[in-house]
Formats: sequence, structure tokens, C-alpha cells
Amino acid sequence: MPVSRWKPSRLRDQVLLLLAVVTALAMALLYGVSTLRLNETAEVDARQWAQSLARTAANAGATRLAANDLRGLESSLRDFALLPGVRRIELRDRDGQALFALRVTDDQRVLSDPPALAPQPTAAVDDDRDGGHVQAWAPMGAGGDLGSVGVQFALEAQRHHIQQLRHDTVLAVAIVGLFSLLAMHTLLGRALAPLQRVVSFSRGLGRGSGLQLQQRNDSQEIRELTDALNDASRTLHGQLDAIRASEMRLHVMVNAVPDAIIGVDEQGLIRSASPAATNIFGREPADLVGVPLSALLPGIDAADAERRTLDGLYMRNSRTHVARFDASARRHGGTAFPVEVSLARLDDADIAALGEGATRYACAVRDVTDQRTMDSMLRLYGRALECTGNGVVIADMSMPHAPVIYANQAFTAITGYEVADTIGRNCAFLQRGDVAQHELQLLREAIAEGRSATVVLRNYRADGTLFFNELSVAPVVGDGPRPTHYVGVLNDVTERERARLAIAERNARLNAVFDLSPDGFVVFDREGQLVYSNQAFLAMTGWDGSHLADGVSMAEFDRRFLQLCDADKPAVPVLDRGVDDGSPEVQVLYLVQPRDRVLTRLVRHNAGGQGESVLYFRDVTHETEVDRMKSEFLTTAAHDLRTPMVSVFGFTELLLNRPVPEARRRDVLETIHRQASLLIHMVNELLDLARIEARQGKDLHRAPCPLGPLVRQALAGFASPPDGDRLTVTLVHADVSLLVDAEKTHRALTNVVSNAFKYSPQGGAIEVSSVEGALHGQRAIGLRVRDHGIGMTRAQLARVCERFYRADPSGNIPGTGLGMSLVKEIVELQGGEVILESQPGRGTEVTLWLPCSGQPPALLPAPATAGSTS
Amino acid sequence: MKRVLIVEDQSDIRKLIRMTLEFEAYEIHEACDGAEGLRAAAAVQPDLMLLDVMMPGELDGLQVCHRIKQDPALSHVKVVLLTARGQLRDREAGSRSGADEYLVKPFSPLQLIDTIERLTAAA
Repeated sequence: MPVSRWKPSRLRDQVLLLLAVVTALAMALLYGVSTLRLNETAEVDARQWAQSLARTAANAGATRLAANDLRGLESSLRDFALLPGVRRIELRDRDGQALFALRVTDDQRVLSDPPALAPQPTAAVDDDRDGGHVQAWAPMGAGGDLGSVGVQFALEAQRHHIQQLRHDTVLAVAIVGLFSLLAMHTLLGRALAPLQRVVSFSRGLGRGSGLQLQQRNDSQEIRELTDALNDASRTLHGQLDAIRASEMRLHVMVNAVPDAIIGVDEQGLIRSASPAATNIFGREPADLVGVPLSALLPGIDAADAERRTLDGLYMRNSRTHVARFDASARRHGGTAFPVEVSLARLDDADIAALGEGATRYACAVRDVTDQRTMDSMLRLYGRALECTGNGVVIADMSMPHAPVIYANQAFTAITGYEVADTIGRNCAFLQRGDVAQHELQLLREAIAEGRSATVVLRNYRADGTLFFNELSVAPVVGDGPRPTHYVGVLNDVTERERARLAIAERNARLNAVFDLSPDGFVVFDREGQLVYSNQAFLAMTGWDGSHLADGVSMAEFDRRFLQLCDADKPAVPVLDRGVDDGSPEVQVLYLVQPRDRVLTRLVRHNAGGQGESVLYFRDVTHETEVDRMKSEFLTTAAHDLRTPMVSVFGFTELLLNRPVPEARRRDVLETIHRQASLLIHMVNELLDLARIEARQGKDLHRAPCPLGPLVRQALAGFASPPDGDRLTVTLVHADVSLLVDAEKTHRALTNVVSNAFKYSPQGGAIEVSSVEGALHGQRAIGLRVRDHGIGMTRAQLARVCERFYRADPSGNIPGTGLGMSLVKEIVELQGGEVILESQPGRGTEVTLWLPCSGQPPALLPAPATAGSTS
Repeated sequence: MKRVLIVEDQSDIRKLIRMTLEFEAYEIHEACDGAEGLRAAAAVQPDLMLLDVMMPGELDGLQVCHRIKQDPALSHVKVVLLTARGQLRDREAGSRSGADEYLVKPFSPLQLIDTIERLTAAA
């Protein structure tokens, strides 16, 4: 493993490490040298101390030895032995014989010991460091003639002292080293901090160019570095801006071009593509990178591009070869479409400058599908215009007089004018002065307002013959508000116009027929919308024609119609009628609105194969009413005519088959006669009514006639009891002369009085009186007959004068149902009036108003003669 | 002796029927409207009724006939309707009311005798 691996990379760490090593070395050296010196000094000191001690002891003991006072000598030497560091003292005589020895124990006791020290050494001091002590010999007496003293001195204390010193030294060195390292670390940290700031600033430059680093109170070197960096940042920012602006311009330009711009490298692979490629090829530009160009433009690979461009033009200023050609491109889905390709090849020199993998070819692709389609459509339109059977002209509206700038062959075929003769002229020449046409005005208005219009004009061919021209014009609007051109399509509708006029004429006739018809007609179109209803139908229904005008559906028609109908007899809906089987069924409809009516309806669906429905309505109210009355009459007459016949027939049969006594025979015959008379009366009444109705008053013989005799004559038939007793007659106008047909009036009055008796079967007075009043502003007399009989309801009263109407249909009261009809007929034919008042259970009052004579009759011509009746 | 009740408002017709039946052995009773006819029927307990259809008053012949036939005490009474209405509809109304016979006016007196004899003999 290399050492550099462990070498710190940071400057601060390096400096600190170096300092630590140097300090450690210096300290170690200092420690070594000082220890050595200390050891030497300590040994010398110990030895000198031992020698001086030995000498002192020798001096002190010399006299005692000389005195041979060994005991005193020993005791003085014991004092010496107690001195610090002394371990042993030995005394020898001048022959070197050991006299005695003293040993000091560790606990400072002095013991006599056999001699153990080495014999008198040659040197005064003998080191025995290993033994941890030195020994020194000193002669006693002059020149050692007495003996010698040896002192063994322990080095232990010295060594301990030295050891102590060493420890202190090591500690001091370590503290100093640590402090210096700390001081250096702090210093370096302070000194290098601005450098860190500069470093982080420099790193930030990449992200935001143009940043400036604030100067601080840093060292000179840092300040210079900051200035240099700020300069560099400014310069870089300026350059970046320029590059970006340039790039943006290029980007915008490339994006703005609708053509796909594709960069292709030497190998024919796409390197870049503009956004327009998405529209043209259906793939995102990013997806195209790395795709061969031949995938988009089949057949255009690198070799082909090389060949095409080198065969193309060389652009000297841009130093490119450029080729332009049409090709078939392929969209993302595989659809082929036509394109125009412009391929540029960069020069070798530029490629070398750009480096490996650079764009070699710039390829601009334009989608010309729409253009091709438009070209072909234009050709197609051109052909279509030439082929069409309708004449087509185009007028240029930007020029005065709007000249024709185009006319097709059909125009010539229709009008007979050559195209060449037509171009440059205004189309109005086709009118040949026939300008009083309403449709021309419509056409002018449409063109003035820039609208489309379709009109039918009377135009004239080149040979002068008239033709109907259905002209449709449509404006062509360009950029401005006004149409630049007008396109006119001519259609020769002469035949159609003739047919239309014929149909219109026929329609007018039919409409007249339908409008005059008393029968109703309604027509629905194939969609079931009401399209026609005539006046007669509106009169039948009381509907307002304007309410039907806005398209009423068949269902709505049925709904409205149902509202008119009798709820008990609803109309079958027209809509329900299924498929028409060709024999339409007659439906009878009973209306109660706007008044009672009976209609028959025929419905024919799909009339004329056009899906139309035709409804035919016929008002049969009158016929139905007459039918009903006849039927009613037959029933009533059957009863009333048969009843007298029972007697006539029965008694006659008895007379023929039975022997009848003479007395009873007369009674029977009277009965037969009476009943036969009633029969005759009825028949007469019927005949009278029929005659009066048929003659409509032509057989009236009106003459001035006094009222009194007229009334008395009429009442003569009721004079006998019991009827005569009930009759009271009060005539205040007996002398007034009426202008009437006496016989008919007599008949009318008789009928009224007869009814009064018949309809008051329980009795009660029958009062006949006269009142005065006016008819149509002229004097008139009312003959009033009042009974107190069963009376009539309001409904009965309303119908009592109808023919054959019987207030009592059961037939219990004999009658023909013709009496009041006859009365009304007679009175009204004479310019009079019948007024009826009645209350059920209270009786009835009938007033016959008749005009007085002396004045000309109001409405009727005066009768020429006043002869007798037939 | 068989009892016959005539219900008829026209006196001339009552007289005719009375004369027609006077040579036969019948006990004749008469009424001139429906209500009276019903009362008489209950009182007389006739074997046969000759009943006019169209009569004044509350009850017509059909109603009277219906009541007679509904009344358990009278339902055995033979009823001959006399009417001026001879249409099919009228005859149906008659048979619905339970009438045994239906004679249309004007009727033959001899035919009437035959009818009465036939009906009373059957009873």
C-alpha cells in the first residue's frame, strides 16, 4: 500500500502533520540529550560525593585508628554510615586486611558485617552501576599508612531523581507540542477560511454566471483571487448571454419553420429534429434521435444523401452542397405521403472542426400532401365545371359592370352564346330589355347585400327564343368585406316552369272548387301536418283558419276535433285509420261544438301515392234531423193511427161475424164512425202541414178579418160540455181587424186550444184573451191561450214547434206531433210570431202575435184576391 | 169460469174486447190505467190479463207486466200485451217483460178469442 494513500490531501492537514512530526523529533532529541547529560552529571556527583565522604571518614578516623581505638573508630564510622545514600563502610589496615565493615539496612540500621567489598581497587572510585552503587576508597593517615576506608554509595536516590526529571521533561515536551499544534491549527483555519468561501463561490459560478464575490477584509492573496474570479465571472456571463441569445434566435427560427428540420450524421442517423417533425411524421423529436433517416424517408440513406448532395449545387458562402428533390415520406403509422426535401451537406473542413458524430447533413422536409390534394381537387373542380349540365358563370365584382370572367360549355349549350362572346360582358345581356321582372329586383337586392339568391328569370337565347333561367348566385368573399366574385349557376327550367304554370292554373281551379264547396276538405301532408282546409270545413268546426295555418299535426287535429264531439259519441281518430284499403269507410261524427251538427267523414290515406291524407266532411245535420223526425213520426203515427183502427177493424169484424142486437148495433157503428173521423183528422193535419210546407205560404189568402168572429168560430168546437165549462174567453180587441188568412188562423188557434185541453188532463181553466203590442214596429194583436196543465220543461219548450216532436213521447196523450208545427208555420207565414211560456206542473201560455190590418204587411206582398180556400 | 182482466185506457177498445168475449164463458174485469190494473189483478187474481202497453199515468203496460211476473202471487197470470208498436224492438221489450203473448193493434177479435182460449186452456 503506497504511503501517499495515507498522506493527507488538505493543505491544513499536511501542515499540521509536518509540524507534529518535526516537533516530535525535536522533543525526542532534546529528551535524549538532556537525559544523557543528567545521567553523567548524577554519576559524577555520586562519585565525588562518595570520594569526599570516604576522605572525610578517613580523616575523622585516622587518629582513632592511629590510637588503635577501633571501638571509637567504629562508632564514628557509624555516624557516617547514617548519612544518606551510604550503604556500606569498610575499614582496612595498611596491608589491606579488612578490620571491620558496617552495612546499612534499608531501614537505616547499621549492622556489623563481614567484609564484602572488593579489595582496594586501583582506582579510588569503583563504579558498579549494575549493582546500583559506587564505591570509593580513601587512605587513612599520610599516604595510607594506617589503612583505608571504603564507602559504598547507593545510586538509587540519584536514579530516582533522574527518573523524576525525565518524566517532567516528557510532560513538558508533550504540552508544548500540543499547544503548538493547536495554535497552528487555529491559525491555519483562520487563514484558509476565505479560501473555502472562494471555492464555494467558484462552484456556484457554473450554475449562475455573472455572480460577484464580495471583498472582505481578507489577506492580499485572497483579495487578488477574488478580483480575478469576479472578472472571470463577468466575462463568462457576457459570453453565455451572447450564446443563449444566438441559440434562442436559431431555436425560434427553426421552430417557426413549418418544415421539419432534421440533423443527420455521417452514418445517416438522425441527431436532432425540429418540433415541426411532430406534425409531419407524428413522432416527437426526442424519439427520432438515433433513428435512421431512411425510416422517415425510405431510400434516403447515408450513401444516397452523399450522392445526391454532391451532385447538387455547391453554396460557396456556406460551404455546403445542397440538393432539392421530391420524395415519399412515411408517417409514424406507416402512411406514405408526398414531401419536398432540401438536403444540405456540410463541408469536410467544418465536420473536422465539429468533431466526431457531428451533424453532416441538414435536411428540411416539407409536407406537400395538402398542396397536392388541392392541386388535384382544383383540376377536378375544373373538370366538374366543364362537365356539368348547368351553365356556370363567374363575374368579377371588383370591376365596374361586373364582367363575366368565366363561362363553361353548358352556358353555351343553354344560351347559344359562345364563351368567347360572353367573357367581359355583364350577364344582363341575357334579358334583352325584358327588365320588368320582379325576380330581377330580388336578384339585385341580394347582390347589393352580398347574399346568395335563387331566382327564376325570363331570359333569351342567342336566337331570341325565351327560356326560363333558374339562376342561383353565390358570393365569393376574399379578404375584404365585399364579395370579390359572384358565381352564377344557370338552369334551364323552361319545361318545369310551363308545368308549374299549368299546375298553378289547375290548383287555382281546384282551390276555387274547394272554396265554393259546401263540404269540408282537409289535407295532411306525408309528415301528417295539416296543409289545407277549406272555408266550409272551418265553418263546420268554427275554427280559425289562422290557427290551422301553422302546421297542425294529425294527432293535434284529432285532439281538437274530439273536443267538438259529443262525449258519448267520440270521433274515431284520423290517425287510427290503418292502411287504406281503397274503400274508405264513412264515419259519422256528432258535434256539439260550435253547435249540434252531424257530419260524415271520409278519409283517404296516401292520396295520389304521395303519402297525403285527404279528409272529406259533409254536413248531414239536416238530413239526420229529418231522418230522426221521420223515424219518430213513424213510431208516433203508427200508434196514433193504429189506435182508432182497432175500433174500426174490431167492431167491423164483430158486426160481420156476430149477430148484434139493433140497439147495440147503432152504438157500435157510432164508435166506428167516431174513430174513423179521428183518423181522417190526423190524415188531414198531415196533409195540411205537408202542403203548407211545400207551398211556403203561396196559398195563403190574407184579408182583413175582425178578431172577435175569428176567435169565436175557432172555439165553437170546444163549446159543448164538459170542455165548454172550462173555457173562459176575454176579448178586449174583438173589433180589431187582423190581416190574416181566416181559415188557417182558425186552424192554428184550434190547435193551440186543443193542446191546452189535452195537456191539462186534470182540469183547470183554459183562458183565451187578447193583448196588444207590435211586430216589426207595427201594431199587432196577441191571441193568448193559457192553461193550468202539466206544462213543459225548458228543453221541451225549445223543441215543441219541431215537426213530429211530442212533449209526451209515450203516446198517452193522442196527437200527431204536428199541431204546434202547423201553428208556427201558419203564424210565421203571415208575418206573425209564436211566443211560448211554460213551467212544468204550472201550465203553458201560448201567444199568437198577428199583424193588424190597415197597414201593409211587413214582409209579404198583399194578397191579390181574398177568395175562399180550397 | 176463467177470469179475464182488461187494462186499457181507451174506453172504445175496452168495449170492443168486452163485446168480443161476451159469448164466451169469461168473467170480465176492467181497469183504465197501470196502477189500477195492478190493484185489480191483486184483488181479482185473474187467469189472464189483456194489457195495453201505452197508457197514461206512472206505469205503462210493460212495467205492469214486469211486476205481475215478478210477484209470486201473480206470476201464474197469463199476460197478453196489446200494442200499436209492432216493430221488432218493441216485441223484444215485450218478451223481456215476461209477456206470454203480443198482439199488435189493430188486432182481430176472433184472433184474440183464439189466443185467450189457447192460453187459458194451457193453464
